[in-house]
Amino acid sequence: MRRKTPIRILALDLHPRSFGYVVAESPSRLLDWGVSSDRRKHGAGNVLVLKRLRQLLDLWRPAALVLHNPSKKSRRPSPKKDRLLERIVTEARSRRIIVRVSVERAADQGEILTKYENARRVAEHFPVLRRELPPKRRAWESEHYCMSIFDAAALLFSQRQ
Amino acid sequence: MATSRLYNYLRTHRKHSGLSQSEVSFLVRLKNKAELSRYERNVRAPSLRTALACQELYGIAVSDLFAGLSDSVASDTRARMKRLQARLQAKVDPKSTGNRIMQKFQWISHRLLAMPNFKLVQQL
Repeated sequence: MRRKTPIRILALDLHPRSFGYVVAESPSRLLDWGVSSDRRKHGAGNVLVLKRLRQLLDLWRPAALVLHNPSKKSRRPSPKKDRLLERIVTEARSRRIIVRVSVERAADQGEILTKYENARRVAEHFPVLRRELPPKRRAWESEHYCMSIFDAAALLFSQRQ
Repeated sequence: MATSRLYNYLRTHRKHSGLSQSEVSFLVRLKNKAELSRYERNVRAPSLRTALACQELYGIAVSDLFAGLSDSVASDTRARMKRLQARLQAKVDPKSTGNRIMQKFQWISHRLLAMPNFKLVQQL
């Protein structure tokens, strides 16, 4: 009886000073999830990559890394995010991790969903994330930091399909 | 594209339970959450007592909680059993069936055959 060897995937949702992450071993088995952030004014990207991301890569030793790069799609330039993305890709490739940068987000399967609907769909697929689901954002409120976890999970979900 | 099992899955099971590191360290009788963090990050290996407490807490067998460690210990033990089997085979006299060396050889051979991954070990 030969045991199936699992494939671990790390999905990241990048922001200039933080990232949401999800680690999965099989389509429905999440190993870890959370948000890593650094609130300093300068050099937040360095800390994120050098400390937080390296810790994650050392701990989970993923075979593949999935990232979302919305700046490819949008016209608005975001050099900070691009630099962070570049550093992460370099770091992952130096560890021989397969990197996939996706332009599409979401578990929407072609439909156009709001971020909240998207998060709800992700929570249906990964029931352990249900308790992390933030309440629906009102127009005057800022986005809940946990939403980043759902974006990363949605990215993983879309890559798995 | 395949990866080996992780050394341990303590963090995964804790996250699934929704418990914090402080709560789990209290439940398994650790001094503080830093100790649990070291176990989760593979910086230190927990004592047998702590491993059994984790088994009780999460309801998962120790061999599954410490999957990577379990795999490496199993393969190492099998390799050593094979080495001892070969050593005994060299000493054993096929005519005498009742001696102790023969008994040990037969016992190890039976144990190796009973192992689920025996063929895999042979290939390696």
